[in-house]
Amino acid sequence: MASRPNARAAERVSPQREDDARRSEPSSPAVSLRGVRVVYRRGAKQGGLVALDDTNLQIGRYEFVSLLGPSGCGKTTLLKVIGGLIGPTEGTVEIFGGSPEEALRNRMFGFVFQEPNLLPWRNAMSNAELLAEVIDRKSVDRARIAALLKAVGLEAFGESFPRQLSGGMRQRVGIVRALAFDPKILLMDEPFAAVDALTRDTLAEVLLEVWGGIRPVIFVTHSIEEAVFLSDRVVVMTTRPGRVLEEIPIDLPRPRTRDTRDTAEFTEIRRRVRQAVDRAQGNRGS
Amino acid sequence: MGELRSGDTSGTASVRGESAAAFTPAHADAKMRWLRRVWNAFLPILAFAVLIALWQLWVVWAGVPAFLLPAPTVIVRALIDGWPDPLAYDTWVTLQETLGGFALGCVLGFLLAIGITYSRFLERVLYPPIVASQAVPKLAIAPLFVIWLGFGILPKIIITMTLVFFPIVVTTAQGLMSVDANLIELLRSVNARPWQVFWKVRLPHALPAIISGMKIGITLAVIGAVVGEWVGAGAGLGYRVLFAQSQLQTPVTYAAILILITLGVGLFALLDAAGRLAAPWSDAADRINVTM
Repeated sequence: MASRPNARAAERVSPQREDDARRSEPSSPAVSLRGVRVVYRRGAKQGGLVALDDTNLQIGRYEFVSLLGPSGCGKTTLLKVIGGLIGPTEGTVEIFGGSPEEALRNRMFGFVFQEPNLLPWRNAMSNAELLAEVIDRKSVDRARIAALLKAVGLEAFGESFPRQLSGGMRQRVGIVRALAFDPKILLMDEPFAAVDALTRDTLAEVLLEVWGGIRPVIFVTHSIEEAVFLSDRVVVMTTRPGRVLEEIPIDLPRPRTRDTRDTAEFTEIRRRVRQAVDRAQGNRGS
Repeated sequence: MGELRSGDTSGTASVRGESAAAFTPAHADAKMRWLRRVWNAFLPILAFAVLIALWQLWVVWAGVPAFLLPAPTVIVRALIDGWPDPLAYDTWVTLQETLGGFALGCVLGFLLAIGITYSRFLERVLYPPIVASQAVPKLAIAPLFVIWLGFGILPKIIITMTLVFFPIVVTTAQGLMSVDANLIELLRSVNARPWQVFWKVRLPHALPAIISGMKIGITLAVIGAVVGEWVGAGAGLGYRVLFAQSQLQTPVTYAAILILITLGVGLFALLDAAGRLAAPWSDAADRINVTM
């Protein structure tokens, strides 16, 4: 299961199935994209902007997958296609065997964006309840939310308002908000890009703890280090048009801790991912 | 008049006082800070008292006739003599017109803002006539409302409404539309209904802006009521200003103006306090400190 540089889309599908079988998971993946192409209408004179082209991707039911690549490689577009917020121009997307729109209607997605966007008139607890409340006001699981707040280290801050919290704390509330209604899939778009480097490392550890390996996570990032630390697999994307260049499995043992970053294995995998990213950037304009 | 001047200037003084306090070292003597605050509050009152005293002295020494410029003491005399009859009744009439027009203007402005927020078509159709309506001099069209609606309270309320709704539309629409696109997308990701987005996010987000619009609106409402009375009325503070002038009772004119100012500032302060209670998270509530 070494990296597969410049693998053809068709070749990529079958090794992935082996991968799933090896993990003795149910054979159907949580997320499956085949031949996905997304064209934005902007610049329609040139036939539109191709944000994503010929993208094939399978994500297992318990898999943490990072999408890594230069700006404009369609990482965010890919995330929104999976999350049913953008419809693909071509190709098929399946979420647990159904369409993304169906999955969205069934509230399967927990989104976390770069900015936590907490509501300033609600305290941390109430902000964490927002999405659960929108789904069903009567069945908000307050005990679960309180437990999640505790898990991310905010048990003493449930009553605090966003302006009383640091940037990292706000993003923790954002993560709890996304997990509050027990979504089937967690979708994260550069969630730690706006916090400082030290907080960023801590948040990554917190995220692994609350994730617990019980649901797939799709994590968009610019950080090689972060992608390697968090993921079971790193998907390196290239730009113009955005497409998957390589998929690199990360075989580091779990649970991963602060010390994981200092191991020789970590350094070695990080080096391979960096080389893949270099190739992705070298591919520009090809 | 006293309330306006002292209220206004002490507002800026308190802002200055806050920034001064921010630069004071943490260990600074609390007593010194307290003295500074008292001084900051006292200074504008003192300045105002000096101004009134100079006015009084000048009128008395120069022998200015009361129909040109009455002394402050004469104005206060006129106020006492005219209360409650006819000034209390005038105040009651003008207050009703002001609040009636203000309420209607708020409702109209709010509904228009919702239309503009949710429909590009309505935005394009409604905005030009709304803006054009504000370019029309209200005093010029006020007589038309009298022709259409008679001499009762209704034309005054309508004229007031046409002044009030405009700032409400602009600030409310701006507030409803300025919600972060990612936040809307987040709610969309759990299939939120448009009314949920409106009640849970857009409306509370717009609240500080709406309150700002209402604060502008309430001061315009007093002007609207006076304009309405000027083109045809038998009572009210605006009517009293004109009537007293025609009788050369200049002190009564000043007394009526004094009540109008008190009315405007009082209603503004009321809204300001209500706004702070309704939207304590708003930055504007921290910064714009008029009532102290």
